[in-house]
Amino acid sequence: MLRVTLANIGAHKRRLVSTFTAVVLGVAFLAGVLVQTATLQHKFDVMFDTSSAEVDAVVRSDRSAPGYDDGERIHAPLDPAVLDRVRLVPGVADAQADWEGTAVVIGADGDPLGTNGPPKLGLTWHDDPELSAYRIVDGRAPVAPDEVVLAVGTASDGDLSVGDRTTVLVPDEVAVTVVGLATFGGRDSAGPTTTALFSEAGARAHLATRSGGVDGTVGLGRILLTAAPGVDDDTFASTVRAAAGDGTETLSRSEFRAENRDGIDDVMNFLRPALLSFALIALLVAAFSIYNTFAIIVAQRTREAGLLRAIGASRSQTLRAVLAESALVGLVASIVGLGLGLLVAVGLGSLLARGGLGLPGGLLLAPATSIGCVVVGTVVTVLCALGPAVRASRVAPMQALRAADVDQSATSVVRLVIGSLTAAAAVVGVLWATVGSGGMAAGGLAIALGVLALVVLGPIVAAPAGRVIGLPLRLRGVTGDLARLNAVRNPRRTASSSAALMIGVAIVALFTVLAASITATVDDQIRRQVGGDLVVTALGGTVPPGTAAEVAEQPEVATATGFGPATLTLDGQEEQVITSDVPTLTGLLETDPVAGDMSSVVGDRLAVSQAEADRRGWAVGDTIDVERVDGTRTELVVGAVYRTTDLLGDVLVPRTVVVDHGQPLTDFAVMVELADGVSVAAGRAAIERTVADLPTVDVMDRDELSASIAQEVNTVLYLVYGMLALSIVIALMGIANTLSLSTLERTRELGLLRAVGQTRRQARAMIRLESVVVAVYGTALGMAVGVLGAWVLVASDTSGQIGGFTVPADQLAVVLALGALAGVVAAIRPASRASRRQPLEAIAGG
Amino acid sequence: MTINVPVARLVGAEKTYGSGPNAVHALAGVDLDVVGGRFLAVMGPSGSGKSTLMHCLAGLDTLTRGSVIVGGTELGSLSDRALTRLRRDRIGFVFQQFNLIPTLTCRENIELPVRLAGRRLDRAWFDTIVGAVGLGHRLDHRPAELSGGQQQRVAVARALATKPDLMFADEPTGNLDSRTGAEILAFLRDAVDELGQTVAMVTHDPVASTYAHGAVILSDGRIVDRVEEPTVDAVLDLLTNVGGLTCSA
Ligand SMILES: Nc1ncnc2c1ncn2[C@@H]1O[C@H](COP(=O)(O)OP(=O)(O)O)[C@@H](O)[C@H]1O
Ligand SMILES: [Mg+2]
Repeated sequence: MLRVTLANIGAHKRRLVSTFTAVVLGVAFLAGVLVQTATLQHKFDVMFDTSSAEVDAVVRSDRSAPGYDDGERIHAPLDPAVLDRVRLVPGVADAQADWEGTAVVIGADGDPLGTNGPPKLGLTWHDDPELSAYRIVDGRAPVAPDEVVLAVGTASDGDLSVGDRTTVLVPDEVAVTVVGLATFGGRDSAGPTTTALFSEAGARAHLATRSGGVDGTVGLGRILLTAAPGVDDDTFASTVRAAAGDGTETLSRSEFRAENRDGIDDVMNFLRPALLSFALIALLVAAFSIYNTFAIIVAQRTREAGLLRAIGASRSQTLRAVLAESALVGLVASIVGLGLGLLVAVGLGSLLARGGLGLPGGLLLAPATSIGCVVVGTVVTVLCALGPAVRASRVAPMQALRAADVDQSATSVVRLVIGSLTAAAAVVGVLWATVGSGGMAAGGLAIALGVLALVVLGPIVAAPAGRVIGLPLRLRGVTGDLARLNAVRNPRRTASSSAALMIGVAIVALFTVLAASITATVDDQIRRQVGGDLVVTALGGTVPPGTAAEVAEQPEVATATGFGPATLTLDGQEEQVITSDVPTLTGLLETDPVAGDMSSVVGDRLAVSQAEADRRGWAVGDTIDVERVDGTRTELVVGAVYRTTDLLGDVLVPRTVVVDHGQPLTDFAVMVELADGVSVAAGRAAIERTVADLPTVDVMDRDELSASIAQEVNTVLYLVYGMLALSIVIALMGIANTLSLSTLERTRELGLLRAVGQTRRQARAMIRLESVVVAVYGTALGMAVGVLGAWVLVASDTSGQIGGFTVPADQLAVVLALGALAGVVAAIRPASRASRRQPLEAIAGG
Repeated sequence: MTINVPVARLVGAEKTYGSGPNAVHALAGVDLDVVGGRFLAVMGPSGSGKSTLMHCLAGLDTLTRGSVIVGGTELGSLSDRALTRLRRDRIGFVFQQFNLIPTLTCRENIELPVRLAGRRLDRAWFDTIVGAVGLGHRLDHRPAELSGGQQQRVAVARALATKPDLMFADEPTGNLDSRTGAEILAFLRDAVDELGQTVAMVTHDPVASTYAHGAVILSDGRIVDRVEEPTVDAVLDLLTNVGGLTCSA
């Protein structure tokens, strides 16, 4: 049996090359994703375990400070008396005040270090090695408030060394001296972060501004504790908890570690399925290619099989032969794919590193990953071969001996019924998503059903569709006619080789349209809602306090109003609110008020969004009980209700309500309106001069603002393109291979054409045009699915993120042109091979 | 049409496959004139070199030695492209089977060589040849819907479409029953007598040769005999001499 299989594989070497390659590439992508995500997870785990050092318990305030630090809640400052209390707890080996914050280090060249994304850490230096993973390797520990120790990696990035003076933004500027360099768990830095370590005095002075000071007294960020040897972790935590008392929360050793890991788990929980779905798409596309190859090989062998059967070979023997062959090819290709996957993992790693998720070190290849990939690759291959094999085994001997030149078998009633039912289900899904309440999930399901329906109906649709797409080929005379007819002569084959391309292109089109829609929506929002001339923003979304005032002082500026986050407890419920000079802000940002008067929102008034008002049952004139983070209370009256929440959130509160109440006020952005007669260029120059000493601050006009957001959207889009590139390559290889095999099948016909006067050039053109028809068919179908899919998603979007559906006709035209070009490229090899064949070989071959 | 002037000639034609002790001399020095306006039958036992001779004459294959001249052009010096044009414009083909493109209708198959040349088929000529082979009502069918005999008629019409200098038929009736075969042979003869064509046909069937004006007998790559107005008996005799009555082409 094995010998027959091997002999078969040998005989079909060239035909199997593309199956082999498709499996290899599909498995490589899958393995690459699995290996890279596992590696990343492992590295982050190690990193966070390292950063947790030997801390056995953490005590902090149970209240929130305003704002979020990278999506995490910031805790209010802790009463210093707590530290005195917990130090007395039996079993405590050490307890130290600790502050964490953001500290952007300015490098020797004056530019801020680090990329937009990974944290730029400002930490507290601890002499106790149990409390910190940082170890000084050069210089000494920080003592004075203006001394810092930098991570070795941070220092080398910024070209800084011990003794250098530089600036750190916390976000206020602090002039510091680098007194030492430290490693993190033996490495140069904690992943892609930058790190500056302050003495306790320095951290209290600089990092605590984030965690706030109560009535001028600076609170503690948190307390890190270690237990004496032999004390049980949980017991330790509960004794500390009891001693810490009201207004605090205590994390045990394991809770602390789990929380540290939380943030990265969120990232991984998003990243893993996202990457995995691209790998699965590649595998799916590969599956079509594999299916097609086996279908053709089997068809070619059908005559042979028919003969075998005529001389008595059993059905199951034929079946087993094909399955054994596919299993062997699948297995070997999967193993090769696994090897190649390590390269893919390296590539993905550097891609992720560019996105700020890079960590040094090697790859982690778990045995389960290897086995899983090989099994998946082999099973997919066998499953794809199963259909054609079963069909071959059913062939009646006499039927097999007849040459099947033009396939008429595609239009089966079962196929039509199943396909139509699936299509109907897709339509219902679309209605449910858009008109009904299904939302995006239903939309996604409808799209998947639609694609499935197209795959099922493909063989029925392919022939008429291909004929229509090929209509322009009539202009190419008989060569065009032949190409067009060849493209649809075997609809099943046309359908499956174009289906792979369809899926790839559909996703490309979907994301292209979604990105255009999002960009257009944002652009529209900015145009409608942003009334000022210029906007001042900053790296990390934190414009340093005081910037707005400084900008406002310039003679070129009429008004400059910042708006930023604060935390308040409203009627007993803690909320993130936005504080600003509301009447001025309302002049510069569209709020679309529905009740009350935005200009009245001063003093003891606030404004809420329509959604918030509905949710809480508030109306203009209602009085709301307000508690600030420092525990003081006041009452505010709803002065206005507004509708536009994109930039303003749900609650707008005057600055005066929160200022001097334990919350430092930073701004997301400062909106600037220039004085009459001042040009945007002149105003901008003046503001840039004002903020010249703030390296993280940026001045933008409205066009730049929307361009910067469009750029972020496009970055994601290009990443998606990159991820899909492999799938598209596999799809094109599939088309090329199908074409090769088809021309091989048609050897005699090609020879006849050459004999009766087809030139080589005409032969090449014929095959090329056939390929173009198939490619354009797949591309056009994919584009239709993608655009429709995007429309369904936009229409079913209830979050309001994507307001309008925008079809970027120019980009889609490029996609279509690329599709046609891809057809030409895919045909190069088959066409030249077929045209080089001598007519006689073909004729004699009969 | 010019009578008695050769439209194609083979001079000292040799074709050798392989080399050394394994060499097969498919053509071992053949001189042959194919005279315009005549129907020539090429006969001989299987393996005697009939197909090779035909292929070399038709520009489908090249000689090892000697020369082929078609309509005054020496083929040995032609590029693939020029050879293709020559086949397209000046030579018609009818093979034993698989003569037609399955995706094209009969009409399209007949028009194929003319359209490959980027021309349109002259209406009157089309009607003439279609009328001659008697296919009128089946023109818009595809080959798979036709019987073997009908397919060969389409092939004959296709071969005639370009008004070729020379038409080759390699065992055109080999796959047909004798009655259908006879019809095809009659068409070929009509093409010569009534349309002024020149036909060269390979066959091993003595009955088929009786439709020709003359026959040459091949054996081991050489012409061993020529007959004018061949009869079954005469041809049978000659074939028996070279010992090749048993096999097909
Ligand atoms: N491509 C080839 N390679 C090797 N030998 C060949 C080839 N084609 C034909 N021959 C040999 O040349 C001889 C003549 O063949 P052919 O012209 O086909 O004879 P016929 O048509 O009279 O049966 C035969 O011995 C055949 O085996
Ligand atoms: Mg022969």
